[in-house]
Amino acid sequence: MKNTWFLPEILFLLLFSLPPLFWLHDNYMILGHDSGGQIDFITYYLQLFSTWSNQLNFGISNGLQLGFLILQLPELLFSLLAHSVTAAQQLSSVFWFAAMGLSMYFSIKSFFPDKKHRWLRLSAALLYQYNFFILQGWFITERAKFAQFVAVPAIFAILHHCLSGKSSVFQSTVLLAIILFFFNAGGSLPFYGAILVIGGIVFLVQTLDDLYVKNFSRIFRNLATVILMAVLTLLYNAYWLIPSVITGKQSFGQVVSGSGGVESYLAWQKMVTQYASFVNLFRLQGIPDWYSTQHQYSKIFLENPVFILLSFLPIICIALSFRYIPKYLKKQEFSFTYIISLFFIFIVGLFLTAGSRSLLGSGYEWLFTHVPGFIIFRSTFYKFGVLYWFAFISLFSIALHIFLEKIEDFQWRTILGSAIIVLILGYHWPYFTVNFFQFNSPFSTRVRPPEYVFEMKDFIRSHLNTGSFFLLPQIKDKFKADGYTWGYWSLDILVNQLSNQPVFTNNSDDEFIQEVYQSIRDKNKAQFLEYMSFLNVRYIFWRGDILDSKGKSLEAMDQENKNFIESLASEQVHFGEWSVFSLPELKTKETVYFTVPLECKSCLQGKEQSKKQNYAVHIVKPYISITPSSNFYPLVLMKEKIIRLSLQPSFDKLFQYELLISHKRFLEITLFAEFASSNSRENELFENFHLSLERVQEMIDRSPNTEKRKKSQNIDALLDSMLSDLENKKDEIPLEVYKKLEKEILKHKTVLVFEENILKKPKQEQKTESINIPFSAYYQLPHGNELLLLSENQGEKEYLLSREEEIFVEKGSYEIDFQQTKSIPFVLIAHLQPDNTWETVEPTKESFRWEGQILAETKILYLPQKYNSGWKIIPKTDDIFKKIFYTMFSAENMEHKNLGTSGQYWVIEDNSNFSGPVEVVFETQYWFYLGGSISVISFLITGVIYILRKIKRGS
Amino acid sequence: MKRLSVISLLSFFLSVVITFQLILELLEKRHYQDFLSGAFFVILLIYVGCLIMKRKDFLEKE
Repeated sequence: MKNTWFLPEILFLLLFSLPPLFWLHDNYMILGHDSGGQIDFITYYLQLFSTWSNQLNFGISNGLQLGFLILQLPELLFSLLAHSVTAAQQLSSVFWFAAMGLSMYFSIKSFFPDKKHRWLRLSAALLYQYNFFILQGWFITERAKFAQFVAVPAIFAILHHCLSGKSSVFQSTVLLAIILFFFNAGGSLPFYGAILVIGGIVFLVQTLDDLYVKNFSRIFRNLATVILMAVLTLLYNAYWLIPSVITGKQSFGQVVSGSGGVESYLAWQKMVTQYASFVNLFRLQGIPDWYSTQHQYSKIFLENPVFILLSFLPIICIALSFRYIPKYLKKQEFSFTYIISLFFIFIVGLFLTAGSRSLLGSGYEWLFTHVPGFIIFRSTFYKFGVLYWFAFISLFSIALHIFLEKIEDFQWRTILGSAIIVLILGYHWPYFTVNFFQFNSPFSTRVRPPEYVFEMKDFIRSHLNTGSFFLLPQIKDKFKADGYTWGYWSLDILVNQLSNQPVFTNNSDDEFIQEVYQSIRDKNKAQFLEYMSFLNVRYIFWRGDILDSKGKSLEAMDQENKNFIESLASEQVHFGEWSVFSLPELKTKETVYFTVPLECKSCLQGKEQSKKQNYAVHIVKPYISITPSSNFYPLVLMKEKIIRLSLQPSFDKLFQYELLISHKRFLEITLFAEFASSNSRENELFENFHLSLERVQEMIDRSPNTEKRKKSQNIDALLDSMLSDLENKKDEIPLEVYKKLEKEILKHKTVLVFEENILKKPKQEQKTESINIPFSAYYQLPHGNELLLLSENQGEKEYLLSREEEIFVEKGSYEIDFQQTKSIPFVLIAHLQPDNTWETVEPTKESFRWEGQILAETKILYLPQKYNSGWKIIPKTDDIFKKIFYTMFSAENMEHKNLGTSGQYWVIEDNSNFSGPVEVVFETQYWFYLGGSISVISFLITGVIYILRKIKRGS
Repeated sequence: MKRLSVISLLSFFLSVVITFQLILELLEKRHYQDFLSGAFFVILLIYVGCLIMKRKDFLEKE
C-alpha cells in the first residue's frame, strides 16, 4: 500500500483521457483527410505486410509504411476485440490520449517523486495531453505524432537517469529500445530528429558536467551506453529501417526533384513556419492552420483580450520562476543537469520549431540547403514542435510548483492547484467540442458514413473478388481528392477501403487514365473497352454522392457518362447512391497492346493546371516587418534600394529580388487595404507596386532569349498567385482597391504572356524565325511523346520539335499536335506486335511479385506497375532463400525503362542469359524479410541475456 | 550574493520583456515583437550561462 499513494493521480489522468468517447459516439468515426482511418481496419493492416501496393492505379511502394505494423497494434487489438469501427477507434484514441499523459507523468515523477510535487506532476501531464499542438493532431488522429509525444518524455527520463548513473545500463538500454520499438512514429524518419536532439542534449550536458567534476570514467561509460542504446534501437527497428533506407535509395532524388527540388521544400518549410514566430511560440501557438479565416476555433484565442492574456500567463510564470531556480538547485530539489538539459531543449526546440521564421532563420535555411538529408525536416514545425512543447510544459509546471510552495496553507494550496487544473482544461475548451474535426464544411474527418457504404463493402467482399474497378464520375476536385456529400474528403480513395482489388481513377495527372475518361466523354465504345481490357477492369463503380472542395456535385456530363456506361454494361448491384456495373467479357491478354492516341489536346489543359500548381509551391510570401502605416516605412524602401545596388552584379539574384519586392508591395496593399484606400499615400503604394512590376518586366526584356521563358514563367506564376490571393480576399478589401490591383496584375500578365516566344525545335532544323505564339503552347511534351508538330494556320509550314531543343517562331496563331514518329519504346504502350516481341508479366496473389516468360524472341518485358528501380527480374524459384539471394545480389542487370505512371519495361538483350520462367519482384519486400528477421533475433537475444542475468543474480 | 542578484535581474528583465509582448499583442502593435523576442532569447541565453557559471555553488552540498 506504501507505493500506491499516486494511484488517484493516475486515475485522474485516465479520467481526463476519455474525450474520444464523446467525440466518437453514435456511429461516428474518423475517416478521410490524412487520418488513415479505415472502414475495415484488419484488412488494411494485413495489406501493410506487402511493400508494394497495387490497390490504386499502377501501384505504389509501401516501403515507408512498415513502422505502422507496430504503431497500429493497439488499433488492431481493439478492432479484433470490438465489433464496430467506432468502438475500436474510441478505444484506440483513449489509449493514445492516456499514453501521452502517462508518459509525461512518469517522466516527471521520476524527477519529482514526492507527494508535495503533486500539482507539478498533474499540471505537466494534463497540459501535455491538452494543448493545441496535439489537438491539431487529433483532427487527423495523427498516431505518428502521438507516438513521438509518448516517446520523448520517456526517453528523456531514461537517458537522464542512466547517464547520471542512477539506473542500470542494461535495463535502460532495453527499455529505451523497447519504447522506440512500440512508439516508432510509424517509421517516419523525420520524427526521429527530435529524439536525436533530446538524446544529444542530455548526453552533452551530462558529459560536460562530468568533465567539470572530473568524473572521466563515467564519460566513457556513457559513451558506450549511448552507442549500445543506438545499436539496440536500430536492431529492434530493423524491420522498417532497412526497407526505409532501401526505399529512400530508390526514390529520394526522384521524389525531391519531382516535388520541385530543394527550393520547393524550402518554400514548404517557410509556409509551415510562417506564423511560428517566437512570440507565438511563447504562447504555445503558431500552428499554421490557426491563421486561416476558416479555422473552427482559433479566432477567439487570437482576438479575445482575455484569451490573449491567458496565453501569455505560462511564459510570464516561467520567466518569474527563474529567480528561484538557483535556490532549488542549491537545496538539491532540482537536479542541475536536468534543469540545464530542459533549458537547452527549450532553446534548441524554439529555434528548430520556428525554422526559417525564427530570428536565426538564415541558420536553419543554411542547414536545410547544406546538410545532406536535412531536407526531410521540411515540416519543421510539426517534426520538432514536440521538443519545445515538452520543455515549455516541464518548465511551466516547475514554475507552478515554485509558486504554489510559497503558499503555506495546505488548503489554499489545494484550492489554487485545483483552480490551475480547471483553468488548463477550461482554456482548452475545444477539446470538449467536435468542431475541430471539420476543415471545410461539409467536409470533416469525423463522419458517419451512410449505410450503403457498408452494404456495398459487404457485397464486394462476398461477390466481386476478381478484376479491377474503374471509378465514375471522375474526380474533379482541384486537389485530386475523393469527396462525398456526407463529409468524407481525402486523397485516399474511399473505394480502396471496400475492396482488395485494384481501383483506377484520375487522382493523379496520369495521362493514360485521362485518356480513358476522354474515351467515355467521346462515347468511343471500342476504345473504352480496349482500355478496360488492358487494365483488367471488370467493374465500373458509380458514386452518385460525390462532392468536390468547391461544392460541386454531379453535373450533366456525369449523367451522360453514366448513360454511356449503361449502354455497354449491366448494373450488377445498387445500394443507395452507389452502383456497380459489370462489363462484358473482355478480350484476353493477347490483345492488350494498343496505341494510345497521341493527339492529346486534353493533356494541354491538364498540364497547364499541374504546372501552375507546381509554381504555386515555389512562391514564398515575403514577411512584412514594418507596415506601410509605420513612420519607419521609408526606411524599408531605402533598405530595398541598398539591396538592389548590392545585387547589381548578379542579374538572376536581382531578378528574384524584384519578384519578391513585387509580391511584398502586393501584400502590403491587400493586408492594409483600408490604409491604402483611405490614406493620402494610397497612390504612393500603388505606384510602388506598378514600378516593381515594371522593373521585373524590364529585366525580362533585357534577358537573353534563352532565359526569357523561364523568367516569364516565374512572373506569370507570381501573378497567378496574386490573382488567386486577391480573389480569396475579395470580400475583405474595398472594391476600389480590388479593381485597381486586378487591373495592374492583368495588365502585366497579358504583356508577359504574349511576349513569350520560345518553343522547342530539333537542332538540325536551325530555324530562326522569331514570332509570338499562344500561351498554351508552352508545355513540355507529355511523357512518352517523342515529337511535337507545330503548323501555321495556313498549313504551309511545319516544325518538328523534340524535347531537348528550342525554337524561335514568328508571331501568329498555331495549332499544336503531338505525333508519334517512332515505335517502341518511346510511346506510352507499344503497338500490338504480331510477332510477340512484347511480353507482359502476370500478377500473382502477392502484389510485390509477378510472373512471366522470357522466350528467345522476347525483346521487351512489360510490367503494368508504376516505375520503381526496386523492381528486379530473377529466375523463377520456389526456394525463398534463393529468391532473397537472387533479389539482393544477382538480379539480372537489364536496361530498365520508365513508362511514366503507367508502367515500366526491361529491354531483353539478344545475348541475355535469361530465358524461361521469371519473376519480377519488388526487392524491398525481401529487405523487409531480412530486417524482420534481425528484429526478431535481437529480441530473442535480449530476452536470453535478461533471463541469464536473472539466473545469475538469483544464484 | 552578487551572482544571485544578476539572476534576479535577468528574471525580472525576462518578465518585463514578455509583459511588453503581451501589451503589444493586446494593442495589436506587432511591429516590435520580433525585436522583443530577440531580446528575450538573448537574456535567456545569458541566464542559462549564469546558471552554468554557478555550477560550483550547486555542487557544494552534493
